[in-house]
Amino acid sequence: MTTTKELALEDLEFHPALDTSQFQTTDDIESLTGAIGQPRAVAAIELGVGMVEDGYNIFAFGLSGTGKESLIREYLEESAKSRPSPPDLCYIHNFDDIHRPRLLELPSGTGSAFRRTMEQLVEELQTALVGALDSEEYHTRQQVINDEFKERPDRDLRAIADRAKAEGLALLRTPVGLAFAPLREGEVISGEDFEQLPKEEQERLKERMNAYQDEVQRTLRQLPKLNRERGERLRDLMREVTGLAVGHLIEEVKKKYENLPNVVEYLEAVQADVIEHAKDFAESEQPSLPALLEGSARPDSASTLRRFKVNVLVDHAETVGAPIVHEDNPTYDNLIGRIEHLAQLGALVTDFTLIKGGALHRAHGGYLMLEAHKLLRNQYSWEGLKRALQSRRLRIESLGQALSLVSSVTLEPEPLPLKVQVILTGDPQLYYLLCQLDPDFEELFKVGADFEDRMDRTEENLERYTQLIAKLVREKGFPPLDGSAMGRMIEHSARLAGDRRKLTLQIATMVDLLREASYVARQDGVEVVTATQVDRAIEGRIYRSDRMRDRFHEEIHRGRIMIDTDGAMIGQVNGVSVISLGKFAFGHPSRITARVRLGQGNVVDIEREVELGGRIHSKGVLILGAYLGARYAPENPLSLSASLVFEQTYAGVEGDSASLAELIALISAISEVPIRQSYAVTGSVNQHGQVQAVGGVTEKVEGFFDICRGRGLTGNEGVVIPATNVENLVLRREVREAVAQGDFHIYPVERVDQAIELLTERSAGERDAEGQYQEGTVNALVESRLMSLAQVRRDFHAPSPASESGDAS
Amino acid sequence: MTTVSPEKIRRITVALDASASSLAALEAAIELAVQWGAEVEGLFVEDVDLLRWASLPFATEVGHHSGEFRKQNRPEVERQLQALAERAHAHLRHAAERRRVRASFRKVQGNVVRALRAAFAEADLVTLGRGERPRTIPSGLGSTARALAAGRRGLVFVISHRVRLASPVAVLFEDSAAGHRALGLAMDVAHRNAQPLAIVTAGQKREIPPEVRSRAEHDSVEVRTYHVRREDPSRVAAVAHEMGAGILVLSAEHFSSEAIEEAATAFPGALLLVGHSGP
Repeated sequence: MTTTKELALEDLEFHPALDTSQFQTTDDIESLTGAIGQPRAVAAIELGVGMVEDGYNIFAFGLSGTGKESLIREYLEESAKSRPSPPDLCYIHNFDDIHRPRLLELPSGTGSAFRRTMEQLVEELQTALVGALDSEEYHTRQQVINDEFKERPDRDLRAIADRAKAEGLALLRTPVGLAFAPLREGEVISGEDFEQLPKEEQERLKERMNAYQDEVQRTLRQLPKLNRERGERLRDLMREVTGLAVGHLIEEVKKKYENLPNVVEYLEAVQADVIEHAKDFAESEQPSLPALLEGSARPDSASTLRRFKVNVLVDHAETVGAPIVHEDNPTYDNLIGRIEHLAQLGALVTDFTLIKGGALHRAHGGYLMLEAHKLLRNQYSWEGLKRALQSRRLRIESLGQALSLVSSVTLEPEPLPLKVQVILTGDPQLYYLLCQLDPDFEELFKVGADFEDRMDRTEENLERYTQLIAKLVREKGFPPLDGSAMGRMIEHSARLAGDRRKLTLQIATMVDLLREASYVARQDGVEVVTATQVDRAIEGRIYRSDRMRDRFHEEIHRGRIMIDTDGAMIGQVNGVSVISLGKFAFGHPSRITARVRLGQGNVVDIEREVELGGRIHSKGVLILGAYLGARYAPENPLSLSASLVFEQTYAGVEGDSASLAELIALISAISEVPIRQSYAVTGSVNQHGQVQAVGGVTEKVEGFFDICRGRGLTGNEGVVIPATNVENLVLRREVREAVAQGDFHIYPVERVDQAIELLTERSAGERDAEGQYQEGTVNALVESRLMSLAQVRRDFHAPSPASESGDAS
Repeated sequence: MTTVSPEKIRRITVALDASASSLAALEAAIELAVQWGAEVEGLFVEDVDLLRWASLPFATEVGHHSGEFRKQNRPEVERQLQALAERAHAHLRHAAERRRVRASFRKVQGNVVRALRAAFAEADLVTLGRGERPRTIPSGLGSTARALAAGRRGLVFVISHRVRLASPVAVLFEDSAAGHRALGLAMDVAHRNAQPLAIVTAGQKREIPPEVRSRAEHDSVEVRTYHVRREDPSRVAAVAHEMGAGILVLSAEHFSSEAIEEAATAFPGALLLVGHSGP
């Protein structure tokens, strides 16, 4: 009846086949060098790594496990070797503005040495200053100055008092000042006694007292000026003494760094500051807490030494070439850096020693690798990264500062002129979303490296693939694989690719399988992994995941989910759907039924009515109505009402892969021709009756096979699939064997009529020269039924005889 | 060895005028009272010379800090003295309560030196603050202290406001009753405050009596000895200062008041003068 040819075993085999004659185990195979299957991504990476201009950052996108990071790292390491190591980055005290620590760039690997030099210098300076300020010379000269300035007013007042006493006047100390009074017999004269004095004497005494008071006033008014002079002289002395003590020490260090003007400038500032604050410096203990941000004018003992520290943010002593940094947790702080605080007396305080670098600091002069989804998941990290790349300056500021949420006084470290290439990795969806939604993205990430998830199964690629597996086995320390194991690995690779002409590039999954097969080999006590271990690893993987599949199959075998696999039924067909549970997917037969009655040409998708059907499924059902009308009733109204349902499904149905099965069920319901229940059907149809490819065809075939085998294969069971899906079939060995033995059949179809004939065992029928279907064919029966329904409908709507007569009258 | 008997010091009089140095003297008096179980009397003298001056119709003063002339009168000066007295009293009360020492306060009017001498005749120990320079009437020791020291009786403790009682002690040892009294007192102060004691001999070299050494050993007082050639209190004071001593004990018996004043000038710490009689 049907002319559709079923698939033979050779249609299901792999081409080209793996040649295992060239090796015993993977030990005999050379390791793969270079990339595999990623020519497009490699070209992009080469461009990105080679470009030094701004904006040529790379976004590598592809499915998880396609080896994006390892391939990029390989290229970066090669490029980094030939590039110079970037400078070490340090933050140092800004003696002009405590709030704006200065950035000091030092030749690569010398940051820590400079820090130690400064620590040693400070120790030596302290010793030298203590010695200088404790010296007899300093004390003596200080004493001379103090005495000079102290004694001057002292001496003047004493002289005044002595002269006044000689004239019978006493210098008195009042509660708030100094005063003169006439004396008589050593005591101050009373008012009455004073009045008794001759007027001339009174006037003389008053005049003299006024004169002495003027002198005292002049003396007292000189005190502030004298104090200023004294302070200046003492400071000059201090500068002279400390300058001599510290000058040669700092000069030694300056000479050591004479080729680095920024260091020399810093050391000069240190020298000036040490001399200015020599006393505090000499008295300082080792610092334990940071300088309070309360103004730079008042150095306290804790902060005096602390500010000569060198905060080495990045030390490239161990770095060879340009750095390659991978930040696993790209929070804003981890990326941009942060300023830490210490709680001190209930307040949070900080200084430049608490500045911490971020991944961008470490990657400055090299490469920074980040995972895009982690970057975007961390709030503000993306914005922070973009800001740094756009401005080419890395400014450490807290989120509060960046968002202008806080205005408290804190540090504003000098920004780093940033030179870095950023490599983001992520999935394609993220890449395209960023292209679409972020206007800055394409400007900053000009290079998109698109990673394939599979590659062609050619002779050359097969050989390289075996080299890749051999390399992975060696790198990971797995036991070697023999030819049979290699065969299974390649087979599984094709299965993962979902195509017998492809091999997967999801290397991570292959590594997992190798690891699990190695585990099985250890359990078995064998030193070489064979197909047995690989099969068991795959079976174990499936077993761990297929609890749900077992439940479904059990329900079917116990008859609670009704699936017929023999006999024939009108309006009932076996469809197959795929259920995905994480990485595991399995095929699951579903009964699809159709009922028809007189109506207005609508096909009711019951799934859609109850909102269990997705939009693509609904589209498929609507196409069926169009197909039926156009094929069978092009000049008559389609006068039926049909309903379609996936029986016993309680979750959503999506996709159009059941549309062929639904059409067959409809045609059966209309024509009342029964359908073979030993077959399942998958495929979508278009309005012209062509059968189109669908996804998950391997799982679908295997799913129906499992049910049939569970009931006992009779040789009648099989699956109808789209012809364009044949190359997607990567079936288990047992299915292939059943096909080879004729126990199970797979029919590829290109048109609906082929499926009709297979499932009804009757001719579908074609229109003859007069446009009529051959009598007895399924299509003829469909057309006839539709015509009859149209006639009934016309009759139903025809005017009654009474109304005709009424019209006549 | 003839020594001072601290247990006989029952009454310590402190001269108060609310200045920083008199408050230091108060602190020292209170501390000594705690150590020796004595009581403290605060004495504030309203200077009658000052009141007479304020009664003069032309009384004018030059402000200490401002250097400005100000007309004065007696009621105003009395009010200022009263305020000073109240502040001094308050300081005494607080210090005594804090250290649980019996204390009394007395205000008298008269010539300062005579009033203090009269009051001190009844005291076992006198503490008074040392005049501050440069904004006071110039003096190395303070005119009052100098006058009292010249009396050469009892114990006079002149305290600078920067000195704490718990400081290393130095003593000029001389072979006289007053010298032994000074050494005994210095030993006691060093012992009670767990401080080292420097014994200085001047002029003729003298051996430290064995009983002094055994007492030092008994009291765990670290003793060091020094000798200066010149028998000059100011030289002794300079040496004591260089050694880091905060308290210098001198016998006032054999030195003129000028010599003592020179010593006070050379020694910025506290000066404990031991007179020819007393406890």
